[in-house]
Amino acid sequence: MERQKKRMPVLLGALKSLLMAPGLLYIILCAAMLIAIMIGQSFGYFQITGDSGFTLQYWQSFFDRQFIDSLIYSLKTGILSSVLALCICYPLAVMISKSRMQKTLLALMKIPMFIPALVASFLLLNLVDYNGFINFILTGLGIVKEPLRMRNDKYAIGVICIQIWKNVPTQLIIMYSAVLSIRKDITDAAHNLGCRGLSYFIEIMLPMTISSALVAILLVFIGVFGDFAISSTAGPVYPNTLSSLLQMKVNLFYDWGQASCIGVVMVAVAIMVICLYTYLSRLLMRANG
Amino acid sequence: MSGTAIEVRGLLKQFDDFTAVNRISFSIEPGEFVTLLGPSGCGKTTMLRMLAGFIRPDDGEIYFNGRLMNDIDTSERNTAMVFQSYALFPHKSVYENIRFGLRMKKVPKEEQAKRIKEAMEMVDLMGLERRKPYELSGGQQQRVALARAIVTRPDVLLFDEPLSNLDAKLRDKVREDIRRLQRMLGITSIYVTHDQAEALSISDRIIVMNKGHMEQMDTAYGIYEKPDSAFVADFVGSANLIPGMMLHCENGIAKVETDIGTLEGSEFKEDMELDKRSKLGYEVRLCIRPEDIRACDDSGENVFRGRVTDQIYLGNTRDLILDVRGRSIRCTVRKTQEFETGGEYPFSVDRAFVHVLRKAGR
Repeated sequence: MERQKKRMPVLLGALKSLLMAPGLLYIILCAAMLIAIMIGQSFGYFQITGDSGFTLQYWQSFFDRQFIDSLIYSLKTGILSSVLALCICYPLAVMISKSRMQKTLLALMKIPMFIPALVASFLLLNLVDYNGFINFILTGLGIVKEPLRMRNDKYAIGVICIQIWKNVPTQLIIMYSAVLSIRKDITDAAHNLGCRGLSYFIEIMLPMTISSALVAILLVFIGVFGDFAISSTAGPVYPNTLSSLLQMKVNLFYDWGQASCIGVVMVAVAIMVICLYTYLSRLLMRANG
Repeated sequence: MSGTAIEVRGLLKQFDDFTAVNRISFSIEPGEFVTLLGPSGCGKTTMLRMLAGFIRPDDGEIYFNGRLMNDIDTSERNTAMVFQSYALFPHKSVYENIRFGLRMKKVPKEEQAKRIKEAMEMVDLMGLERRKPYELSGGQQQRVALARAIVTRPDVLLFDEPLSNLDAKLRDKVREDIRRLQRMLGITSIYVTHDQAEALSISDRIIVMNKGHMEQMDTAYGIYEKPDSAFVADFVGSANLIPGMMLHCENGIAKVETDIGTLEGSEFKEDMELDKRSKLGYEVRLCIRPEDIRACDDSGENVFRGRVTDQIYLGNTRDLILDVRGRSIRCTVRKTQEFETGGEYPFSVDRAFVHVLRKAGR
């Protein structure tokens, strides 16, 4: 009887593991295993064409100017899009949280989420194109003599604009919940002690929502960093995003080895960003309790 | 208005069809400790939040030291509020929490340090400066909230049920701390609670509120011993409310016919509405506190016989539930007194303890 009692938790544990098996298998097969294959390919293993075997040739010829430019470009668009979108989301989340039409405004703000990236890109091109709406207004008002080049420009202004438009809803949902989670009595206490406006934002709101802001930045950064669709339509001819470069390596040059190297770098950057996020969150958690 | 710290005139607040505060007026002297007492939903917190400046009144005026406050933002009223949930800033240390108000008011740094040290000593928080709120007990958190409030030297201290999240023993301790500090600093204070024992023990005066109205404003003694209405009598302490008909009223003594017999009661407030309207045959209610009823030997004034239907042991005393001619009457006796359940005994009550109230009441 006693032995049977001891066995019960073990059996339950085994049952729980069994229930988790479909999810775990999916992750192992579709993520861990595929990443392992990709790493292997970058070192000459699992070749789709030709002989397989260990080699460093893909990595040796990998760090050229084109790759460095693409990496910088992807990082730049990722950082700028996620940070600028957050700058829009913070005040927007505060305004919506105070509005009487919260539900309607939130529903309207979510619209870009349901539009595919490629469609969004083409829609937004109407705004940022050489003959687009923004240039029409700017030239019409006499602010600029010649239309600005915001599409396919080397500074990726068009891409960043579209990325912000596309990603603001994702960040808004996170930041709106974060702003709402600040207890009313804490806000009242701050106001009562003379804290208003910008000092309220710096002293109370920012420290209490910073972990959500980090999540919002992380989610958007990862998406933009690995973007292909928007950069292909609105991005410059050179440099490309890492995804575009990867696509070129495979489709134009059939160079699976170097494509794998790009994949490894992209995964490594994503892991580094997640590690940074985890480290910062731990720091914040310790600071905020 | 000189000599009045707070004056409230005809304050009104409505939320859609619900009137939370219904044209309330009162004034508070400098350094006074006044409690807003009432059941949930009576409007006491709304009143406090209007005084703090968190809610704008629909009508009426609020004056602090003779200055109209209606259009003044909460950040400029020089009030400090102690919240039910403490409302400490979770990302700031104890020291930073206490310092917060001083920084916002741009008090010089040297003065800040001096005041914080004083405040921390007053509430016995020395040594906890670096702790975060989540590292403190409930009582310590409430003391930080108190220090954060007094350190800014406000004109008015506002307390929104500050003890309701503490256990009974700690509540007594913090309550004593609050009263001691308030007396020491002489800050005019308004305290909200639904706990009548807390209100009676801490206040200079109490405002009893019911359904948005002010039922009575008086000292703790006045509220308990001379309630103006059946609501006050019943809400503050325990009371037997017995309907009756006024038979005679002279020299402050009223003779009232009730279904437990004819009782004599004190007509305790000469200027009360009752006095003007209390003609013979006027319907009234008698208020008798259970502890004012005593077992007797069939002699004396206001004697009635009651059958003990139940006995409730309360530790230091015992409550008897009596059936007096079909009416249930509660009576508190010493725990050493023996009564048999089902037995009939004579009881009496001094007429000074029989309060005559208007029958109509909210």
